[in-house]
Amino acid sequence: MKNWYEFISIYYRLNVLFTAFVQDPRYRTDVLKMLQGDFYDTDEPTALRTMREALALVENDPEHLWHPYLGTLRAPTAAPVF
Amino acid sequence: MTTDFDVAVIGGGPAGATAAAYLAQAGMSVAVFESELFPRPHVGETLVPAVTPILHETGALEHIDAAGFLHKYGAAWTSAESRNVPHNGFTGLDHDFRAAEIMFNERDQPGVDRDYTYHVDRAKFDLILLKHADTVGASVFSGARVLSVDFDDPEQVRLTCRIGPRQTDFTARLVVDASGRQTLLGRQLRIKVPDPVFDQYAIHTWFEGLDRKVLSADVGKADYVYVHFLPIKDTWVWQIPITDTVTSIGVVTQKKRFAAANVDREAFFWDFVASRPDLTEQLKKAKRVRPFKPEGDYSYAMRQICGDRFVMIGDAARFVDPIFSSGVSVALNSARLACKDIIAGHKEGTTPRRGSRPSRASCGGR
Repeated sequence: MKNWYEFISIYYRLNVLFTAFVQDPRYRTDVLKMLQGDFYDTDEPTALRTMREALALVENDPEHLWHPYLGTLRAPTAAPVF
Repeated sequence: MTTDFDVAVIGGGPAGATAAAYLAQAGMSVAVFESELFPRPHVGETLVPAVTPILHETGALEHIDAAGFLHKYGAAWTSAESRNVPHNGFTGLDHDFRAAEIMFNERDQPGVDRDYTYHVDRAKFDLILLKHADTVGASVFSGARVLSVDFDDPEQVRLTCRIGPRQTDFTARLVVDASGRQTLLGRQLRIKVPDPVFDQYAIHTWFEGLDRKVLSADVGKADYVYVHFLPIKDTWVWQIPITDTVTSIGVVTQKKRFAAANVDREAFFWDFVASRPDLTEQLKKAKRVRPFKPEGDYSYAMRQICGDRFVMIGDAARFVDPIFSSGVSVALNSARLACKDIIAGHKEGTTPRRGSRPSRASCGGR
């Protein structure tokens, strides 16, 4: 469930990141797996880790092209909340 | 020590009914205490394919199939964003960043033998699962509200219930809390904590005659679940087909936005939906057939979800947000995981203890 919580958090924080990842062939299967409800693995999916890294880049760079699209809900991206 | 039941389940929703079915089928004596009389309406009307293996295992799937619920082949997201969002190196963006769809058959899923799942009228769906639990041997007490659970005796739990005008006690070796967002044990044990990030709130209703084809990019995908993002931070609308002509529509936002709006539910709903003129136009043509209903207290966790003689499953353990339609799936999967350990413990003559597997595997407790 840690993966699921983080997935939802990232989704709210930066919607365009979800859209990009779900449509990109490199990550689509990973994202689809979570959307099918298979998120009980303890290992972190590659797509989720990459999303988190991408989000951190956007958050930390006010000049980033996606910075204006950040949402207001903010979860720690470096560590799970629970 | 002799108890009335091996296991007492608080709540007869999907989590409780599924747990009861698993336990009864394993030969345990199990009682379900449901405070309401089914059928009753409930939010959470669209499923994900991860429920299929569990419905198979408990034997409920044939009843769900027979009920004629709409099939759900995929999901779609629409955006209010009109700006040209930079692609930033990503590929495969057929619709830019304004829309996305997935079909469940794009990935094989263990235990899933079909390329669809279901949209469900929860009044009917929940009743089917509870009846099934009863059929396979669980004792179902409808209209029985559990008031408290006494853990003083280390060998049993004692549930105090109100059934009609009477108050009655029942004993069991352990209790499964499937009370949903009532979170009976979480409140009693004072271990419920608000989510540190989310504080979501929803207002929803049903519409008759909404033209779902007009709202979909592809008419073949009109019966997908749709998430329509509004041009308001962290706010979106769900569109869930219930029947061929009835559609569930809900606005989800942060609770503080509703409080700040200082208007009634109906005004709030329309004010927010108005930010998507395409959606508003179609909703105005349809007929609302249910009152607006709010859903608060959406986002919380428990400091502990499994302890001596208790385990929490489904929404009774945790709820974050309905964005990806995971509620019923989490309910059923957490029931399955918890019951696996309960049944194993029953065979060994033990009961769940703090830190045992269900708390970690099913709901992510520390």
